[in-house]
Amino acid sequence: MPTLGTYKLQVQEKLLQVARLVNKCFKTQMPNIKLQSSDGETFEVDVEIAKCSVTIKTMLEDLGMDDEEEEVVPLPNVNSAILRKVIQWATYHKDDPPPPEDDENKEKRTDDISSWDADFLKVDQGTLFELILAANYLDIKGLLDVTCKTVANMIKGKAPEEIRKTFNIKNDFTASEEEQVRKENEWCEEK
Amino acid sequence: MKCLFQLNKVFAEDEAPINKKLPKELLLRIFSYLDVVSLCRCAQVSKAWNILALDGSNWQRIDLFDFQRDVEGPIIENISRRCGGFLRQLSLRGCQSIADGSMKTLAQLCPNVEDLNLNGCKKLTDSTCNAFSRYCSKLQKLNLDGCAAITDNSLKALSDGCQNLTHINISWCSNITENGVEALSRGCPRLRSFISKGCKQITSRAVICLARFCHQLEVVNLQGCNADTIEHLEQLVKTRRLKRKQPPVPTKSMLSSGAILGAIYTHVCATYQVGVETANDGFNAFGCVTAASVRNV
Repeated sequence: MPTLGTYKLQVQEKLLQVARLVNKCFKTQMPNIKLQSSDGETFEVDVEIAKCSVTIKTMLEDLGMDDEEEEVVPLPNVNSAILRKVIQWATYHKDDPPPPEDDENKEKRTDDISSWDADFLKVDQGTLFELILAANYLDIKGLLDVTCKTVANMIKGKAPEEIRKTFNIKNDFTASEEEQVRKENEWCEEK
Repeated sequence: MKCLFQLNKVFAEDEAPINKKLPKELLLRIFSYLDVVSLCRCAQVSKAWNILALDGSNWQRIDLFDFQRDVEGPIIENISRRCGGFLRQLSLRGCQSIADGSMKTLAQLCPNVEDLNLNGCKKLTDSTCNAFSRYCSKLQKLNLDGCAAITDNSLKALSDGCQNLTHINISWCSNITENGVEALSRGCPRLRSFISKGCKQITSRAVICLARFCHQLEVVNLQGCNADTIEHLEQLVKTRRLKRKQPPVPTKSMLSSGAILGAIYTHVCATYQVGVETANDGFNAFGCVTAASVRNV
Protein backbone atom coordinates (compact mmCIF):
# COMPACT_ATOMS: atom_id res chain seq x y z
CA MET A 1 0.00 0.00 0.00
CA PRO A 2 1.36 3.48 -0.86
CA THR A 3 2.03 5.89 1.99
CA LEU A 4 -0.17 8.94 2.28
CA GLY A 5 2.59 11.15 0.87
CA THR A 6 3.18 9.14 -2.28
CA TYR A 7 -0.54 8.66 -2.64
CA LYS A 8 -1.07 12.43 -2.57
CA LEU A 9 1.53 12.90 -5.27
CA GLN A 10 -0.05 10.21 -7.37
CA VAL A 11 -3.43 11.80 -6.93
CA GLN A 12 -2.19 15.26 -7.88
CA GLU A 13 -0.61 13.85 -10.97
CA LYS A 14 -3.72 11.97 -11.86
CA LEU A 15 -5.94 14.91 -11.16
CA LEU A 16 -4.30 16.88 -13.93
CA GLN A 17 -4.48 14.00 -16.31
CA VAL A 18 -8.09 13.38 -15.50
CA ALA A 19 -8.93 17.05 -15.87
CA ARG A 20 -7.69 17.00 -19.40
CA LEU A 21 -9.43 13.79 -20.08
CA VAL A 22 -12.74 14.94 -18.68
CA ASN A 23 -12.55 18.10 -20.67
CA LYS A 24 -12.06 16.07 -23.77
CA CYS A 25 -14.97 13.81 -22.94
CA PHE A 26 -17.30 16.72 -22.52
CA LYS A 27 -16.21 18.50 -25.65
CA THR A 28 -16.57 15.48 -27.83
CA GLN A 29 -19.75 14.26 -26.16
CA MET A 30 -18.07 10.97 -25.41
CA PRO A 31 -19.15 9.67 -22.05
CA ASN A 32 -16.20 7.28 -21.90
CA ILE A 33 -12.92 7.46 -20.06
CA LYS A 34 -9.90 5.26 -20.33
CA LEU A 35 -8.46 3.44 -17.34
CA GLN A 36 -5.00 1.97 -17.51
CA SER A 37 -4.00 -1.00 -15.39
CA SER A 38 -0.61 -1.44 -13.75
CA ASP A 39 0.52 -3.73 -16.57
CA GLY A 40 -0.38 -1.17 -19.23
CA GLU A 41 -3.69 -2.43 -20.57
CA THR A 42 -6.26 0.28 -21.29
CA PHE A 43 -9.98 -0.12 -20.64
CA GLU A 44 -12.56 2.23 -22.08
CA VAL A 45 -15.38 2.68 -19.58
CA ASP A 46 -18.54 4.71 -19.35
CA VAL A 47 -17.85 7.68 -17.05
CA GLU A 48 -20.87 6.89 -14.90
CA ILE A 49 -19.62 3.35 -14.32
CA ALA A 50 -16.09 4.54 -13.54
CA LYS A 51 -17.59 6.97 -11.03
CA CYS A 52 -18.76 4.17 -8.76
CA SER A 53 -15.14 4.38 -7.67
CA VAL A 54 -15.09 7.31 -5.26
CA THR A 55 -11.38 7.69 -5.94
CA ILE A 56 -12.03 8.24 -9.66
CA LYS A 57 -15.19 10.27 -9.03
CA THR A 58 -13.35 12.66 -6.73
CA MET A 59 -10.62 13.13 -9.30
CA LEU A 60 -13.14 13.91 -12.00
CA GLU A 61 -15.10 16.33 -9.86
CA ASP A 62 -12.21 18.19 -8.28
CA LEU A 63 -10.54 19.00 -11.54
CA GLY A 64 -10.80 21.70 -14.08
CA MET A 65 -10.99 20.56 -17.66
CA ASP A 66 -9.08 22.53 -20.19
CA ASP A 67 -6.88 20.28 -22.22
CA GLU A 68 -7.71 18.24 -25.23
CA GLU A 69 -4.73 15.99 -25.01
CA GLU A 70 -5.52 12.32 -25.26
CA GLU A 71 -5.02 10.94 -21.73
CA VAL A 72 -5.83 7.89 -19.71
CA VAL A 73 -6.26 7.44 -15.96
CA PRO A 74 -3.40 5.24 -14.73
CA LEU A 75 -4.28 2.89 -11.90
CA PRO A 76 -0.86 1.66 -10.82
CA ASN A 77 -2.21 -0.48 -7.99
CA VAL A 78 -4.57 -2.60 -10.09
CA ASN A 79 -3.51 -5.16 -12.67
CA SER A 80 -5.52 -5.85 -15.82
CA ALA A 81 -7.09 -9.12 -14.62
CA ILE A 82 -8.42 -7.44 -11.47
CA LEU A 83 -9.39 -4.20 -13.24
CA ARG A 84 -11.39 -6.26 -15.75
CA LYS A 85 -13.24 -7.93 -12.84
CA VAL A 86 -13.84 -4.60 -11.12
CA ILE A 87 -15.27 -3.07 -14.28
CA GLN A 88 -17.45 -6.14 -14.78
CA TRP A 89 -18.79 -5.77 -11.23
CA ALA A 90 -19.33 -2.03 -11.57
CA THR A 91 -21.11 -2.45 -14.91
CA TYR A 92 -23.53 -4.98 -13.47
CA HIS A 93 -24.19 -2.77 -10.43
CA LYS A 94 -24.29 0.57 -12.24
CA ASP A 95 -27.96 1.20 -11.47
CA ASP A 96 -27.74 0.18 -7.80
CA PRO A 97 -28.73 2.81 -5.24
CA PRO A 98 -25.67 4.24 -3.48
CA PRO A 99 -24.60 1.89 -0.66
CA PRO A 100 -25.57 3.06 2.83
CA GLU A 101 -22.92 4.64 5.00
CA ASP A 102 -21.30 2.36 7.55
CA ASP A 103 -23.75 2.40 10.39
CA GLU A 104 -22.16 1.31 13.63
CA ASN A 105 -25.50 0.39 15.06
CA LYS A 106 -26.55 -1.73 12.17
CA GLU A 107 -26.24 -5.45 12.44
CA LYS A 108 -23.48 -6.72 10.21
CA ARG A 109 -24.95 -9.48 8.11
CA THR A 110 -23.08 -11.79 5.80
CA ASP A 111 -26.00 -13.82 4.46
CA ASP A 112 -27.26 -11.09 2.13
CA ILE A 113 -24.90 -11.61 -0.80
CA SER A 114 -26.83 -11.66 -4.08
CA SER A 115 -26.53 -14.77 -6.21
CA TRP A 116 -24.88 -12.78 -9.00
CA ASP A 117 -22.23 -11.51 -6.60
CA ALA A 118 -21.77 -14.98 -5.12
CA ASP A 119 -21.13 -16.37 -8.60
CA PHE A 120 -18.92 -13.43 -9.49
CA LEU A 121 -16.79 -14.09 -6.41
CA LYS A 122 -16.29 -17.79 -7.08
CA VAL A 123 -12.59 -17.15 -7.65
CA ASP A 124 -9.36 -18.31 -6.09
CA GLN A 125 -8.30 -16.72 -2.81
CA GLY A 126 -5.54 -14.68 -4.43
CA THR A 127 -8.02 -13.03 -6.78
CA LEU A 128 -10.48 -12.44 -3.94
CA PHE A 129 -7.85 -10.67 -1.83
CA GLU A 130 -6.71 -8.65 -4.87
CA LEU A 131 -10.32 -7.58 -5.39
CA ILE A 132 -10.51 -6.45 -1.75
CA LEU A 133 -7.35 -4.39 -2.21
CA ALA A 134 -8.62 -2.89 -5.47
CA ALA A 135 -12.04 -2.08 -3.99
CA ASN A 136 -10.29 -0.40 -1.07
CA TYR A 137 -7.88 1.56 -3.28
CA LEU A 138 -10.59 2.62 -5.73
CA ASP A 139 -13.00 3.22 -2.82
CA ILE A 140 -15.89 1.13 -4.15
CA LYS A 141 -17.84 0.45 -0.97
CA GLY A 142 -20.32 -2.04 -2.41
CA LEU A 143 -17.54 -4.25 -3.78
CA LEU A 144 -15.46 -3.91 -0.61
CA ASP A 145 -18.43 -4.95 1.52
CA VAL A 146 -19.35 -7.99 -0.53
CA THR A 147 -15.76 -9.24 -0.85
CA CYS A 148 -15.09 -8.84 2.89
CA LYS A 149 -18.37 -10.62 3.66
CA THR A 150 -17.32 -13.47 1.38
CA VAL A 151 -14.08 -13.92 3.32
CA ALA A 152 -15.97 -13.66 6.63
CA ASN A 153 -18.23 -16.47 5.43
CA MET A 154 -15.14 -18.58 4.76
CA ILE A 155 -14.23 -18.16 8.45
CA LYS A 156 -17.64 -18.53 10.07
CA GLY A 157 -18.58 -21.87 11.57
CA LYS A 158 -15.08 -23.31 11.34
CA ALA A 159 -12.84 -24.60 14.13
CA PRO A 160 -9.39 -23.00 14.48
CA GLU A 161 -7.68 -25.87 12.66
CA GLU A 162 -10.18 -25.68 9.78
CA ILE A 163 -9.56 -21.94 9.49
CA ARG A 164 -5.81 -22.58 9.29
CA LYS A 165 -6.36 -25.12 6.53
CA THR A 166 -8.72 -22.85 4.61
CA PHE A 167 -6.22 -20.00 4.46
CA ASN A 168 -3.01 -22.01 4.71
CA ILE A 169 -2.07 -20.28 7.95
CA LYS A 170 0.77 -21.75 9.98
CA ASN A 171 0.10 -22.51 13.63
CA ASP A 172 2.93 -20.64 15.31
CA PHE A 173 1.77 -21.25 18.88
CA THR A 174 3.85 -23.52 21.08
CA ALA A 175 1.90 -26.39 22.61
CA SER A 176 1.59 -24.57 25.91
CA GLU A 177 0.59 -21.27 24.25
CA GLU A 178 -2.03 -23.08 22.23
CA GLU A 179 -3.46 -24.64 25.35
CA GLN A 180 -3.55 -21.24 27.01
CA VAL A 181 -5.43 -19.48 24.17
CA ARG A 182 -7.78 -22.44 23.96
CA LYS A 183 -8.61 -21.99 27.64
CA GLU A 184 -9.01 -18.25 27.24
CA ASN A 185 -11.55 -18.77 24.50
CA GLU A 186 -13.39 -21.91 25.50
CA TRP A 187 -16.18 -19.91 27.16
CA CYS A 188 -17.77 -19.30 23.81
CA GLU A 189 -17.95 -22.99 22.93
CA GLU A 190 -20.77 -25.40 23.55
CA LYS A 191 -20.15 -27.34 26.74
CA MET B 1 3.45 1.07 18.23
CA LYS B 2 5.17 -1.86 19.81
CA CYS B 3 2.14 -4.00 19.19
CA LEU B 4 1.96 -2.95 15.54
CA PHE B 5 5.62 -3.76 15.02
CA GLN B 6 5.18 -7.22 16.44
CA LEU B 7 2.18 -7.79 14.24
CA ASN B 8 4.08 -6.77 11.09
CA LYS B 9 6.92 -9.03 12.06
CA VAL B 10 4.62 -11.95 12.58
CA PHE B 11 2.94 -11.32 9.22
CA ALA B 12 6.22 -11.04 7.35
CA GLU B 13 7.13 -14.56 8.36
CA ASP B 14 3.71 -15.91 7.55
CA GLU B 15 3.24 -17.66 4.25
CA ALA B 16 -0.54 -17.40 4.11
CA PRO B 17 -1.74 -15.20 1.21
CA ILE B 18 -4.50 -13.70 3.33
CA ASN B 19 -1.92 -12.27 5.74
CA LYS B 20 0.63 -11.41 3.09
CA LYS B 21 -1.76 -9.55 0.83
CA LEU B 22 -4.20 -7.84 3.16
CA PRO B 23 -3.15 -5.07 5.55
CA LYS B 24 -4.33 -5.10 9.14
CA GLU B 25 -7.11 -2.58 8.44
CA LEU B 26 -8.71 -4.79 5.82
CA LEU B 27 -8.40 -7.93 7.94
CA LEU B 28 -10.16 -6.05 10.73
CA ARG B 29 -12.84 -5.03 8.28
CA ILE B 30 -13.39 -8.73 7.52
CA PHE B 31 -13.39 -9.52 11.23
CA SER B 32 -16.04 -6.86 11.77
CA TYR B 33 -18.50 -9.25 10.12
CA LEU B 34 -17.74 -12.05 12.59
CA ASP B 35 -19.79 -13.06 15.61
CA VAL B 36 -18.42 -13.68 19.10
CA VAL B 37 -17.89 -17.42 18.57
CA SER B 38 -16.00 -16.96 15.28
CA LEU B 39 -13.82 -14.26 16.84
CA CYS B 40 -12.91 -16.55 19.73
CA ARG B 41 -11.93 -19.26 17.25
CA CYS B 42 -9.91 -16.84 15.11
CA ALA B 43 -8.01 -15.90 18.27
CA GLN B 44 -6.73 -19.50 18.39
CA VAL B 45 -5.51 -19.68 14.78
CA SER B 46 -2.11 -17.99 15.08
CA LYS B 47 -0.29 -15.28 17.01
CA ALA B 48 -1.08 -12.63 14.42
CA TRP B 49 -4.74 -13.58 14.28
CA ASN B 50 -4.87 -13.65 18.08
CA ILE B 51 -3.85 -9.98 18.16
CA LEU B 52 -6.36 -9.12 15.42
CA ALA B 53 -9.27 -11.07 16.89
CA LEU B 54 -8.82 -9.50 20.32
CA ASP B 55 -8.62 -5.98 18.85
CA GLY B 56 -10.99 -3.71 20.72
CA SER B 57 -12.72 -2.65 17.51
CA ASN B 58 -14.27 -6.13 17.26
CA TRP B 59 -15.73 -5.94 20.74
CA GLN B 60 -17.80 -2.76 20.71
CA ARG B 61 -21.15 -4.18 19.64
CA ILE B 62 -22.30 -7.58 20.70
CA ASP B 63 -25.59 -9.34 20.15
CA LEU B 64 -25.95 -12.64 21.94
CA PHE B 65 -29.44 -13.31 20.62
CA ASP B 66 -27.94 -15.57 17.96
CA PHE B 67 -25.79 -17.46 20.41
CA GLN B 68 -28.16 -20.38 19.90
CA ARG B 69 -28.25 -21.44 23.51
CA ASP B 70 -29.07 -20.01 26.85
CA VAL B 71 -26.37 -17.63 27.96
CA GLU B 72 -25.12 -18.27 31.46
CA GLY B 73 -23.50 -15.80 33.82
CA PRO B 74 -19.87 -16.84 33.15
CA ILE B 75 -20.25 -15.94 29.47
CA ILE B 76 -21.35 -12.42 30.39
CA GLU B 77 -18.40 -12.16 32.74
CA ASN B 78 -15.98 -13.34 30.03
CA ILE B 79 -17.46 -10.92 27.53
CA SER B 80 -17.22 -8.10 30.05
CA ARG B 81 -13.56 -8.86 30.65
CA ARG B 82 -12.76 -9.12 26.96
CA CYS B 83 -14.69 -6.02 25.88
CA GLY B 84 -13.91 -3.80 28.85
CA GLY B 85 -14.17 -0.14 28.02
CA PHE B 86 -14.61 -0.91 24.32
CA LEU B 87 -18.14 -2.20 24.73
CA ARG B 88 -20.72 0.30 23.48
CA GLN B 89 -23.67 -1.86 22.61
CA LEU B 90 -24.84 -5.18 23.98
CA SER B 91 -27.98 -7.15 23.35
CA LEU B 92 -28.90 -9.91 25.78
CA ARG B 93 -32.42 -10.14 24.42
CA GLY B 94 -34.05 -13.32 25.60
CA CYS B 95 -31.19 -14.42 27.88
CA GLN B 96 -33.46 -15.52 30.68
CA SER B 97 -30.80 -17.02 32.96
CA ILE B 98 -28.83 -13.82 33.35
CA ALA B 99 -28.90 -12.65 36.96
CA ASP B 100 -27.93 -9.47 38.78
CA GLY B 101 -24.40 -10.67 39.66
CA SER B 102 -23.32 -10.92 36.01
CA MET B 103 -24.84 -7.57 35.17
CA LYS B 104 -23.00 -5.97 38.07
CA THR B 105 -19.72 -7.35 36.71
CA LEU B 106 -20.64 -6.03 33.30
CA ALA B 107 -21.43 -2.57 34.66
CA GLN B 108 -18.13 -2.43 36.50
CA LEU B 109 -15.95 -3.66 33.64
CA CYS B 110 -17.72 -1.89 30.77
CA PRO B 111 -18.37 1.66 31.96
CA ASN B 112 -18.69 3.07 28.44
CA VAL B 113 -21.71 1.03 27.42
CA GLU B 114 -24.31 3.17 25.66
CA ASP B 115 -26.97 0.77 24.47
CA LEU B 116 -28.19 -2.21 26.47
CA ASN B 117 -31.00 -4.51 25.41
CA LEU B 118 -32.15 -6.70 28.32
CA ASN B 119 -35.50 -7.57 26.80
CA GLY B 120 -36.83 -10.67 28.53
CA CYS B 121 -34.03 -11.03 31.11
CA LYS B 122 -36.64 -11.92 33.71
CA LYS B 123 -34.30 -12.58 36.61
CA LEU B 124 -32.94 -9.07 36.75
CA THR B 125 -33.98 -6.87 39.65
CA ASP B 126 -33.38 -3.33 40.81
CA SER B 127 -29.80 -4.11 41.82
CA THR B 128 -28.92 -4.36 38.11
CA CYS B 129 -30.14 -0.81 37.55
CA ASN B 130 -28.36 0.30 40.71
CA ALA B 131 -25.12 -0.99 39.20
CA PHE B 132 -25.78 0.86 35.92
CA SER B 133 -26.50 3.99 37.91
CA ARG B 134 -23.23 3.65 39.75
CA TYR B 135 -20.88 2.74 36.89
CA CYS B 136 -22.49 3.45 33.50
CA SER B 137 -23.14 7.16 33.25
CA LYS B 138 -22.89 7.03 29.45
CA LEU B 139 -25.90 4.77 29.10
CA GLN B 140 -28.29 6.18 26.50
CA LYS B 141 -30.59 3.36 25.54
CA LEU B 142 -31.95 0.80 27.95
CA ASN B 143 -34.51 -1.85 27.12
CA LEU B 144 -36.01 -3.56 30.16
CA ASP B 145 -39.02 -4.93 28.31
CA GLY B 146 -40.38 -7.87 30.28
CA CYS B 147 -38.01 -7.53 33.25
CA ALA B 148 -41.00 -7.92 35.51
CA ALA B 149 -39.11 -7.69 38.82
CA ILE B 150 -38.00 -4.12 38.11
CA THR B 151 -39.66 -1.49 40.33
CA ASP B 152 -39.68 2.26 40.79
CA ASN B 153 -36.34 1.97 42.58
CA SER B 154 -34.71 1.14 39.25
CA LEU B 155 -36.03 4.29 37.64
CA LYS B 156 -34.93 6.33 40.63
CA ALA B 157 -31.44 4.85 40.40
CA LEU B 158 -31.28 5.55 36.65
CA SER B 159 -32.42 9.12 37.21
CA ASP B 160 -29.51 9.56 39.62
CA GLY B 161 -26.69 8.02 37.66
CA CYS B 162 -27.70 7.76 34.00
CA GLN B 163 -28.74 11.25 33.07
CA ASN B 164 -27.82 10.77 29.43
CA LEU B 165 -30.68 8.32 28.89
CA THR B 166 -32.52 9.04 25.67
CA HIS B 167 -34.48 5.81 25.18
CA ILE B 168 -36.09 3.63 27.78
CA ASN B 169 -38.43 0.71 27.44
CA ILE B 170 -40.06 -0.56 30.64
CA SER B 171 -42.91 -2.47 29.02
CA TRP B 172 -44.53 -5.13 31.18
CA CYS B 173 -42.59 -3.99 34.27
CA SER B 174 -45.94 -3.84 35.96
CA ASN B 175 -44.56 -2.85 39.36
CA ILE B 176 -43.58 0.54 38.02
CA THR B 177 -45.83 3.40 39.04
CA GLU B 178 -46.07 7.09 38.33
CA ASN B 179 -43.57 7.73 41.15
CA GLY B 180 -40.82 5.98 39.25
CA VAL B 181 -41.71 7.78 36.03
CA GLU B 182 -41.68 11.11 37.84
CA ALA B 183 -38.16 10.47 39.16
CA LEU B 184 -37.04 9.37 35.71
CA SER B 185 -38.54 12.45 34.06
CA ARG B 186 -36.82 14.78 36.50
CA GLY B 187 -33.43 13.05 36.29
CA CYS B 188 -33.29 12.28 32.57
CA PRO B 189 -34.36 15.40 30.67
CA ARG B 190 -32.88 14.12 27.41
CA LEU B 191 -35.44 11.33 27.07
CA ARG B 192 -36.61 11.03 23.49
CA SER B 193 -38.45 7.75 23.69
CA PHE B 194 -40.52 6.39 26.57
CA ILE B 195 -42.22 3.04 26.08
CA SER B 196 -44.25 1.47 28.86
CA LYS B 197 -46.65 -1.00 27.35
CA GLY B 198 -48.79 -2.87 29.82
CA CYS B 199 -47.78 -0.78 32.84
CA LYS B 200 -51.19 -0.32 34.40
CA GLN B 201 -49.92 1.79 37.28
CA ILE B 202 -48.62 4.51 35.04
CA THR B 203 -51.22 7.24 35.22
CA SER B 204 -51.87 10.78 34.13
CA ARG B 205 -49.39 12.22 36.58
CA ALA B 206 -46.63 10.23 34.92
CA VAL B 207 -47.68 11.72 31.60
CA ILE B 208 -47.67 15.24 33.05
CA CYS B 209 -44.16 14.76 34.45
CA LEU B 210 -42.85 13.48 31.15
CA ALA B 211 -44.34 16.48 29.39
CA ARG B 212 -43.01 18.93 31.95
CA PHE B 213 -39.43 17.70 32.22
CA CYS B 214 -38.60 15.88 29.00
CA HIS B 215 -38.92 18.41 26.25
CA GLN B 216 -37.18 16.27 23.66
CA LEU B 217 -39.71 13.44 23.79
CA GLU B 218 -40.58 12.15 20.37
CA VAL B 219 -42.08 8.76 21.07
CA VAL B 220 -44.44 7.78 23.85
CA ASN B 221 -46.07 4.39 23.86
CA LEU B 222 -48.56 3.76 26.64
CA GLN B 223 -50.30 0.74 25.17
CA GLY B 224 -52.41 -0.91 27.84
CA CYS B 225 -52.57 2.02 30.21
CA ASN B 226 -55.97 3.22 31.34
CA ALA B 227 -58.31 5.43 29.38
CA ASP B 228 -57.84 8.39 31.70
CA THR B 229 -54.16 8.50 30.89
CA ILE B 230 -54.78 8.54 27.19
CA GLU B 231 -57.34 11.25 27.65
CA HIS B 232 -54.89 13.21 29.68
CA LEU B 233 -52.38 12.91 26.93
CA GLU B 234 -54.96 14.43 24.62
CA GLN B 235 -55.66 17.16 27.16
CA LEU B 236 -52.01 17.99 27.36
CA VAL B 237 -51.73 18.27 23.66
CA LYS B 238 -54.75 20.57 23.77
CA THR B 239 -53.48 22.80 26.56
CA ARG B 240 -50.34 23.39 24.55
CA ARG B 241 -52.68 25.15 22.15
CA LEU B 242 -51.64 23.07 19.25
CA LYS B 243 -54.01 23.51 16.40
CA ARG B 244 -55.42 20.42 14.93
CA LYS B 245 -56.21 20.66 11.32
CA GLN B 246 -58.64 17.77 11.31
CA PRO B 247 -60.60 16.04 12.63
CA PRO B 248 -61.91 17.61 15.87
CA VAL B 249 -60.64 16.67 19.30
CA PRO B 250 -62.60 13.75 20.69
CA THR B 251 -64.74 14.38 23.72
CA LYS B 252 -64.71 12.26 26.82
CA SER B 253 -67.74 10.37 25.71
CA MET B 254 -66.06 9.57 22.45
CA LEU B 255 -63.08 8.24 24.35
CA SER B 256 -65.13 5.71 26.16
CA SER B 257 -66.28 4.21 22.94
CA GLY B 258 -63.85 1.70 21.56
CA ALA B 259 -65.00 2.28 18.02
CA ILE B 260 -63.92 5.88 18.14
CA LEU B 261 -60.50 5.24 19.60
CA GLY B 262 -58.92 4.56 16.25
CA ALA B 263 -59.75 8.11 15.30
CA ILE B 264 -57.73 9.47 18.18
CA TYR B 265 -54.68 7.93 16.70
CA THR B 266 -55.25 9.99 13.61
CA HIS B 267 -55.48 13.07 15.82
CA VAL B 268 -52.33 12.36 17.65
CA CYS B 269 -50.47 11.70 14.48
CA ALA B 270 -51.76 14.97 13.11
CA THR B 271 -50.68 16.55 16.36
CA TYR B 272 -47.25 15.13 15.90
CA GLN B 273 -46.82 16.89 12.63
CA VAL B 274 -48.09 20.12 14.12
CA GLY B 275 -45.76 19.56 17.04
CA VAL B 276 -42.78 19.31 14.81
CA GLU B 277 -43.78 22.36 12.81
CA THR B 278 -44.23 24.42 15.95
CA ALA B 279 -41.19 23.12 17.72
CA ASN B 280 -40.13 26.73 18.22
CA ASP B 281 -42.87 27.07 20.79
CA GLY B 282 -40.86 24.76 22.92
CA PHE B 283 -43.26 21.93 22.46
CA ASN B 284 -42.40 18.81 20.68
CA ALA B 285 -43.36 16.34 23.31
CA PHE B 286 -45.73 13.48 22.74
CA GLY B 287 -44.82 13.16 19.20
CA CYS B 288 -46.15 9.77 18.52
CA VAL B 289 -48.57 7.54 20.28
CA THR B 290 -48.80 4.27 18.47
CA ALA B 291 -52.01 3.05 17.01
CA ALA B 292 -51.93 0.05 19.26
CA SER B 293 -51.62 2.18 22.33
CA VAL B 294 -54.95 3.72 21.62
CA ARG B 295 -56.77 0.75 20.26
CA ASN B 296 -55.95 -1.41 23.21
CA VAL B 297 -57.23 0.99 25.85
